[in-house]
Parts: sequence; C-alpha cells; structure tokens
Amino acid sequence: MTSYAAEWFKVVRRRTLWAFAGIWLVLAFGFEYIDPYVKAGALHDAGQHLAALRPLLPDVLPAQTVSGYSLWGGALIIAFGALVFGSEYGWGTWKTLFTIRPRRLTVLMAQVGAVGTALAVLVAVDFLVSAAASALIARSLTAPVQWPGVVSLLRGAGAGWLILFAYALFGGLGALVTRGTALAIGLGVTWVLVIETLLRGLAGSVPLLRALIKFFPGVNAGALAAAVGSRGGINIGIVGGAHAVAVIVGYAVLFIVLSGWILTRRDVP
Amino acid sequence: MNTQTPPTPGSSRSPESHPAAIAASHLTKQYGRTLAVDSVTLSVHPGEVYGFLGPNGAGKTTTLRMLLGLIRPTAGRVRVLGRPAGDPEALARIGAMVESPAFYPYLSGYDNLVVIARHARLPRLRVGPALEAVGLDQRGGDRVSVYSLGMRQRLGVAAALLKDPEILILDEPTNGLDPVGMADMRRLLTALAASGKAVLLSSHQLGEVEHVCHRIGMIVQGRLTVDTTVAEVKGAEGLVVRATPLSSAVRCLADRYGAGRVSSSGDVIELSVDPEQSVVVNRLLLDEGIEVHGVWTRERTLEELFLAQTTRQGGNSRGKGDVR
Repeated sequence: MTSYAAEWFKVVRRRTLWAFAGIWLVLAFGFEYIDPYVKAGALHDAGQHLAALRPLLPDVLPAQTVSGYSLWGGALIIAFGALVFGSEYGWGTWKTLFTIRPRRLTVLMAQVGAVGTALAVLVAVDFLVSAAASALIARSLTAPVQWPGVVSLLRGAGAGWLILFAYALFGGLGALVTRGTALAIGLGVTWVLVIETLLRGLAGSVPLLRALIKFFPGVNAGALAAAVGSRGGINIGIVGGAHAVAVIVGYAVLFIVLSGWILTRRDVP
Repeated sequence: MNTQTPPTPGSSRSPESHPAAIAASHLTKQYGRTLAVDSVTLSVHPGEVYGFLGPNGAGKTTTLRMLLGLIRPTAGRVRVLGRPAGDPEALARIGAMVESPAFYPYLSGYDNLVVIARHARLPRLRVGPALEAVGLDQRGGDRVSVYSLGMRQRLGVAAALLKDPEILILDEPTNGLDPVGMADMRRLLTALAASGKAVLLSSHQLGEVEHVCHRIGMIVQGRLTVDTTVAEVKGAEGLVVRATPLSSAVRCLADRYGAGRVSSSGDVIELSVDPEQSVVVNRLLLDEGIEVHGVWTRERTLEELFLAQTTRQGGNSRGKGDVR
C-alpha cells in the first residue's frame, strides 16, 4: 500500500496528466452531448428532433456516456498509460525506484493501481458532467428527469472503466516495450484507429480474419459499450457482452503479466 | 552540508575486522562480444570508504549496477549485507546514487523524497532532516526541473541518506559541486564511515579519493587491477635528494645502495630505499664532501598509480583524459 501511495502521489501531482484528463473530458462531452445536440437542433421535423435527443436523456445516461470509449476514448487513453509508464525511461527514474526497496513487480502493481484509480476518477467525473448535461436537456424539453437505476449506472461506469483501463495498460506495455512514450503512443493509436478498422473491414471477405476479430480489443470494447446500451462504437454484432468482458479482462491481465515480465527480466539502464 | 569532524582514514579502527557489507566474487558482465566487467572480486566493510576508480567505460558503473541488482551479472556472485543483489531487505539498508541522480522533474525536491520515503516505508518526517543534511532545506520546495547540477547531486545524496542506510553506494557524488560543496561532501563521507557505514565511492576526483578513502579498487577495461589500501599506495617508496655535484652524489649512492636503486632526473636523484635512511644518506653525502641541498621522502600519488595502470592496460589516452 505504501508503494501505491507513492505512485498515486506522483500521478496526482503531475499536471500533464490532469491537463490530458481535462482535454479528454472536454472531448468526451463534445462527442457525447454537444455534437448530437447541435445536430438534433438542425432537424426541423419535431418527431425527428425528439428522436435525435432521446439518447441524451438521463434514463440512458450510461449508454451515451461510454459510447465513445471504445474508439477515440480508448485511443487517447493509450497515451495516458504510455505517459505514466514510459516517462520513467525518459527521466531515468526506474533506477531510482528499483534501488529504494520494493520489488519491481510491487512498483509495477502500484503504478497499475494508480492508473486504475485515476481512470476511475475520470469516468466518475465524465458521468457527473454527462448527468448534468442530460438533466439540462430533459428540462429544456420539459421531459421528466428519470435516472437509471444504481445497478445500471454502476454497470455502465464499470464497463467504461474496464475499457479505458485495458487501453491504458496497452499503452503502458507499449511504453515498456519501446522504452519510451512517443513510439508507444504512435503505434497504439495507429492500431486502434487504423489497423483494427482496416482489418475489421477486410473481415467480411477473409474467413480467418472473421474469426480473429472476435478477439480484437476494439471490437470487444465496442461490444462491451453496446452491452450497457450504447448504439455507437464499433461493435458489429460479432460478440456478446459476456464474451467482451472476458476478452477485455484477459487483455488487461495479459498486459500486466507481459509488463511485469519485461520489467523483471530487463536490465535497468 | 552539516557534518561532524571526520576521523582520519586508516585510523585505529579496523574495518576489515567486520564481515563484508558488500562482497562481490568473480563478477562478470558481457554484452554480446563486449566484456564490460571481467571477474571482479571486491569487498567493502562497515566503517570504511572504498574508492572505486577507473577511466570512463572501464566498467565502474556496470559493476555498481550489478551490486544494486539493476543489471544481472553474466557470471559471479554478489552478497550485500548477506543477501543477493536487489533483494528488498538489502535494498532497504542501502543508499545509492548511480550515475547522475534521476528524479521527477515536475515534483519538488521535497516531494521527490516523499515518493522515495513512501516506497521505502519510511515516515515523511525524515525528509526535512535529509534535505537539511545536504544544505537543500531552503530550496526543497522548488521543482527539480529548475535545480542546477550541483543541487541535483545534493538531492541525490539526500535520497541516499534518507533510509539511514548501512551501505552507501555513490557514483561521482561531487560531480557538479562547487569547492565548498566538495569539501562538505568529503567531511560527510568520512563522518558516515566513522559512524560505521560502509561507503563505496566511485570517483574521478583522485584527490578526494586520496583524502577520504581507506581502500581503493581500480578497474581498467573491466578488470580490477588494483585492490589495496590508500596507505599502501601512498606509502613512501623512496627518497628524493638534491645535491651538488650531482654525478658524485649518484656515484656515491650507487656504491652504497646499488646502481639499480639510484636514478637521476633533472637536478634530483631518486633513491629507492626505506625513507628511514634519509639521515644516513645525508651523512654519507656530507662525509664525501658533497653539498646536500635537501633530502625528501618521495610519496606516490593516486594520480601516478592511476596513470600507470591505465597506460599499462592500453587505455593511456582515455585514462589520462579523465584525471582531474
């Protein structure tokens, strides 16, 4: 726990991370609420206008909030993970950490814990901002404000957190492999936004790819978002929610195990 | 830095009477075809300062990293306080600064030490005194990114002292320090050794090593070529005589001690005899009617040893360039 406290202390005091989180929240709010609200405003047909605003109302808060997590949200969070783990190479601070006392795996798990906590705060704030926006939209429509149940909220927030956590660990692993941040961010974002999209597009005509994409992070992240009601994302109906949870948890565990293996096996520069 | 008056290295205590705090045996590290460290065996005992010398790229830092468990030896064995290198229980009792000290630039000096204290399971209360010990208490709240090289060095030493360690492993701790800071560091190191800590000091500052260290090890091209006490290195190895006429003095001394022990260089004679012979030499020359201007004890300096070792191993240009 003391190592976790040390790593959380580092994360809390690192303004770069909070600036990054702030930008992420602004983008999330923009994609989840402002963009659909503005588009709905351009519709002149009253029925179409109300239908377009329907996903922004409080009762579907979890689905709307996590709708972008599987694509742009996850892609950006890769950078967050890469910054937390990879900066230790840039500053040369692995040697400082590994000559204090704790085992290397203890330090890694403390960092994983700190990242997980930061993402939980991020998701919670996103849900709060989204809740405020949806309540305002409901009032503007003079519609009743009906909040989802606690279980639904927790499921939504949990799914969102799991998606972001796995992507952050993906970025962290990339940073450990490449011993830095820049290449890890570049490769991670390219994978999520370009390569996986390309392979998904080819899956229709290549049977082997059709089987493989069931295990792609983006597909499963999209499926998980869809499982809490999201209609966005990149789920193409290939996998269900339970499968998606299993695969994403599997990825998170795999990324931690590989990161631990790299950190314990490698000489420290 | 706040320190007490240091004892003289090599004083009455006998560090080697204690079991070794650091014991490395046949430590070897190979990177591909490059043998960075070649079967280094050394030990450091509580209460002593061990100077670890060598030219750039000789394997000093690689050896220190192996002692700390940062890199794995290809062969050989390390025991630190009776435990393997990198063992958490051993690390908890070691203060280390390897190469340039590395800190989080966005945190203050104080906060960096808080991070270390938390990882080390130490109370935050230790941070203030550690900063004070290195003279950084007034600047502890500043971000490390604005620290000078000397301030970072001081913070590195504060981080090493934070755990009140039994062993200190310091790589070039005076790098970037001003003369006052260097003198403070010397006092601090000798005071730490006097309090029973084992100090392994890697340095290019040969004068500093000569003043502070009890024993030295010299690594050249990965091999430990010297492992001895500073007293032995500096040990008087002969006499220097100035006399006229020089040729008569040389002949006289060669007759007495043998030609192999006498050599002249410029206007002085170097005589490889026990310095206790100075009175005898003086009388001998005077009895022969030779005018004696002076007889001095000749001490070898660490710099001479360093240059001799590095030149002998073919590292002449590299080694000489490192001597300050």
